[in-house]
Amino acid sequence: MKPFQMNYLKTFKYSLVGVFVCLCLDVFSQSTLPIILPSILDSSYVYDFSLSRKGTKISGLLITKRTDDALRISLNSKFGMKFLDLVFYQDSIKTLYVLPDMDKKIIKQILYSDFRLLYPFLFNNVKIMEREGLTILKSKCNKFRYFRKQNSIVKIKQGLGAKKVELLTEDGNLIELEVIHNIIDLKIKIKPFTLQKK
Amino acid sequence: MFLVVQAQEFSISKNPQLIQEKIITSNRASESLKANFVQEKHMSILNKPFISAGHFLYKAPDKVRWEYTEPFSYIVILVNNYVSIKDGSDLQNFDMSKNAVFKEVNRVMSGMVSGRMLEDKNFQGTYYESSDQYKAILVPQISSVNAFVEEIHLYFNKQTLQILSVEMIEKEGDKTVIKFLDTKVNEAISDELFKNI
Repeated sequence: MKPFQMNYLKTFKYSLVGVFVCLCLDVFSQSTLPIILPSILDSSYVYDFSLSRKGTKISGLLITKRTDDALRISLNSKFGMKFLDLVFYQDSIKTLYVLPDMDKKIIKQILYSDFRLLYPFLFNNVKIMEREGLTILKSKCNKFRYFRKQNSIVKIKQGLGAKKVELLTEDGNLIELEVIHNIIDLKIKIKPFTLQKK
Repeated sequence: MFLVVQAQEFSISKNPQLIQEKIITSNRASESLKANFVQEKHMSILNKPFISAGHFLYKAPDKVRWEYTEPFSYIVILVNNYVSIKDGSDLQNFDMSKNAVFKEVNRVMSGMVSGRMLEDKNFQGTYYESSDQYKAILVPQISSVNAFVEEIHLYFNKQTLQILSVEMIEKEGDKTVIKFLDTKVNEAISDELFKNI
């Protein structure tokens, strides 16, 4: 037998063992998408938000509303000026309004990627795995880990931890969450304000 | 907090120049303005308007203090070319001359209560009147203001010529309405209120 064929057989053998072990131990089971922020269809939620990077900070009101297949977000200053109004779909972003100073593709992409972590229904084709205290969403090119403590999500990590979300909860209710981008030194803080039911 | 809002029937003024002059002259004579305000944010994303409230101070020629007390604590102070913002416990200062957007926000925020906006060539005004109010619809003629507000509606008391409310209308129809209550003109206001936040 040629060395190439031997290597191939070895790899195949180890894969079979791996699958067998996973099936026997039932380490992960299929599950549903984790819920971080509430999103009753057609209800509006108002949050206090701040975005800080390298000593510069903007703050205001974040308003979210979920429809069947999309999440609309609007960032506004507290004295009434709108910064942006975007609709996130599973595979695209629609811009309803953006202040010219903030009209940059990278800003929209960062927000899109962050809000996907917070509203996992926006992920397209993710594999969901769950074990005690941890839910993993695996897409084609990334892995997102949702850590739970007493049924509340307390931390989310993307990939090796380049981006993480820390959540502070009390009696199961979210008090504050912070999205931390370690590489670009960006922090987004969100605190629940009010709920406007449909 | 309850507000009694009476629908006003406005018709276009036959003598817009006279209205403009009356308001400008009255506001020039005002050294200060003190009021409470209620702000309503009407947006298509919201199921009902988001309401906030607080206190407003203006001291001629260029000092403005907006202090939101409900449902959050937020203070904006505009003095000359500088803006200070206190959001909760965070304090930030900006030089507006270095930021086109802030500069225009300042022009709108201080100009609408001082009446200066009525004589600002960067806004095209149309005047209306009802039995007891004047209404000025101002359309910004410069893109830096047009980017965040399409029209500004100012309502004045016909007798006192004091500002009653402001509506900032955005392109997609969303709007911010600010109603001034318990307005007091020419009361002494300490300069310290525009320094310490």
